[in-house]
Amino acid sequence: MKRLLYIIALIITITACSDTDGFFSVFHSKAGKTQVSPFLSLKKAMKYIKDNEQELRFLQSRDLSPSDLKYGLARKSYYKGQLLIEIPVVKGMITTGNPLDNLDGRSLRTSVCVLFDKYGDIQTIECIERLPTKEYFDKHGNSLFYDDFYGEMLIYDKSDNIIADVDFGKAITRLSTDDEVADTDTAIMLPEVVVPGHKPDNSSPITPDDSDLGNSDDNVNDSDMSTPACSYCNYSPLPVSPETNDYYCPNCGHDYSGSMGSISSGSRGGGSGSSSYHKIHTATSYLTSHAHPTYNPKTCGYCARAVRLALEQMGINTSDHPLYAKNYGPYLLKWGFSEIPKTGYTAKEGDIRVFQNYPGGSQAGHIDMYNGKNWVSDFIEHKSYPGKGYRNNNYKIYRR
Amino acid sequence: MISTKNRAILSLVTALSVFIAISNSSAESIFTENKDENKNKIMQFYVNYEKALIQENYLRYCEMCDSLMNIYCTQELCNIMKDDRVNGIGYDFMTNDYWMDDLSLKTLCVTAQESYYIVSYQVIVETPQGKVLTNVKLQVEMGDGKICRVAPVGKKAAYE
Repeated sequence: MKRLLYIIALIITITACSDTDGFFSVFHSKAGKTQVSPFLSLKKAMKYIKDNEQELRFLQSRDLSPSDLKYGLARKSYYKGQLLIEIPVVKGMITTGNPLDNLDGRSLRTSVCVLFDKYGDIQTIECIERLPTKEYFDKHGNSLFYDDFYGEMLIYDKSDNIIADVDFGKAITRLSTDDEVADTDTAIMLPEVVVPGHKPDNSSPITPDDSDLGNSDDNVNDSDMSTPACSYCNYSPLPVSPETNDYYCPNCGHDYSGSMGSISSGSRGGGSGSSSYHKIHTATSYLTSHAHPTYNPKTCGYCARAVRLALEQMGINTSDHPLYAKNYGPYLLKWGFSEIPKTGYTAKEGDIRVFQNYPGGSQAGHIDMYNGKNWVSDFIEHKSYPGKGYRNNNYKIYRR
Repeated sequence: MISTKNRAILSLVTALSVFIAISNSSAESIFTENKDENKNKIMQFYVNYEKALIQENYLRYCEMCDSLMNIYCTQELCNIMKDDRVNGIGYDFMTNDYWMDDLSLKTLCVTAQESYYIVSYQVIVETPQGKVLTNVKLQVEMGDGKICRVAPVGKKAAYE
């Protein structure tokens, strides 16, 4: 009898010491099959994404980590009667909700959509790219609160003023609101990830056509498209403005003169191949695709050459190019660029900055070009300035 | 009944276990002491490094940075920094070029891992899209009591 009691005690001890998920997880999963709660589903999605980071290729290909998924701004929707949770992706954290200060729409480009089956199990996970509309910001009173789903956090600036309040309560409210679904205008679907071991009831993937998420029917990977489409609202075909001889979007009003944005992939096949937009976009694409993803002193140090080769993509003959990056200013003026004042400056795709050298720094100076998202030279610069020495240094901006 | 021979073996095994336990705990305490010392050094370095980084005058920054690195970092790391200032873009390898600000000091945290240390802090980074609050996590390694390697966690250092 004593031995039996001892064995029972031993089993209880081993169970207690092992992973506490044991009995409870079974209970939860059974409970989950009877009731699909958005809150529990979001928790499930969070856990799944965290546990399967390596399998979700869209995370690696975009250098994202699970912490870049802002669960606090997750919204629920339904696709063919199935629960769909959309989780915005933001690298780092946003300091304030004022879009005039630091949100220009690019922050919410990417979302991860998790589709649940009728039993509450994850069916597919997809990554989509989209842009918010002005209505989005209006609807949220220009306030955006990013953080993981739990807790409240105050963020302070240098002067100890509160610049952001990440609010748990607001996240919950937003999650349980059904109508906040279709306030973004563009959805570009990337390849789906079917959760291993799941046998979906409905094998058809979500498409922008029939999901609640957007009204686009253009896929960015469709290389056969020959009609130019707006990269902001996917309106197609884009007409050419008789005034600027460049594309403009009559739907969202986006103007491609000066090439602020990027036209969907099919636009290159359009008839206006010689337009300034195309030349600039070709140059920035070339520069970005040849740049190192981050700085490395062993492989970088050829900023002038990188930008010069990009200029050649614009049809500029650079045979008489200057040696040093710092000397490119007059050269650019010769090729039709003009200097842009720095006051009130907003970067546009194709803009070029020429930095002079500074005491204690490289003699060559520096040069880089804006690709619509980052400044790029022979590496992609992830901040506004290439190095500390160039921050307060004398530089000029040129635009063609 | 336990025989004399068995008793002797039992005593020997007990003595050996006690010896191993004592030696293990003392080794562990030396190791912990080392870790605490290194953690303090790293913390001191980054607290002072922030003061250098917020200098508006670039030459003053270089001066402060060099003098700090000479104390806390290996010669190799000092040379890499100096070399990139003259021949490169002046990349800040000690923070993976995120730099630091006052907010970083408030959020600075050093934790010891098995063979390295994690330095984490928040910093407001200026990007073309605006100011972004960024969580920085660095993997700092020590060699001979000095910082010998700084890299993003689980990744190569920018100079490697």
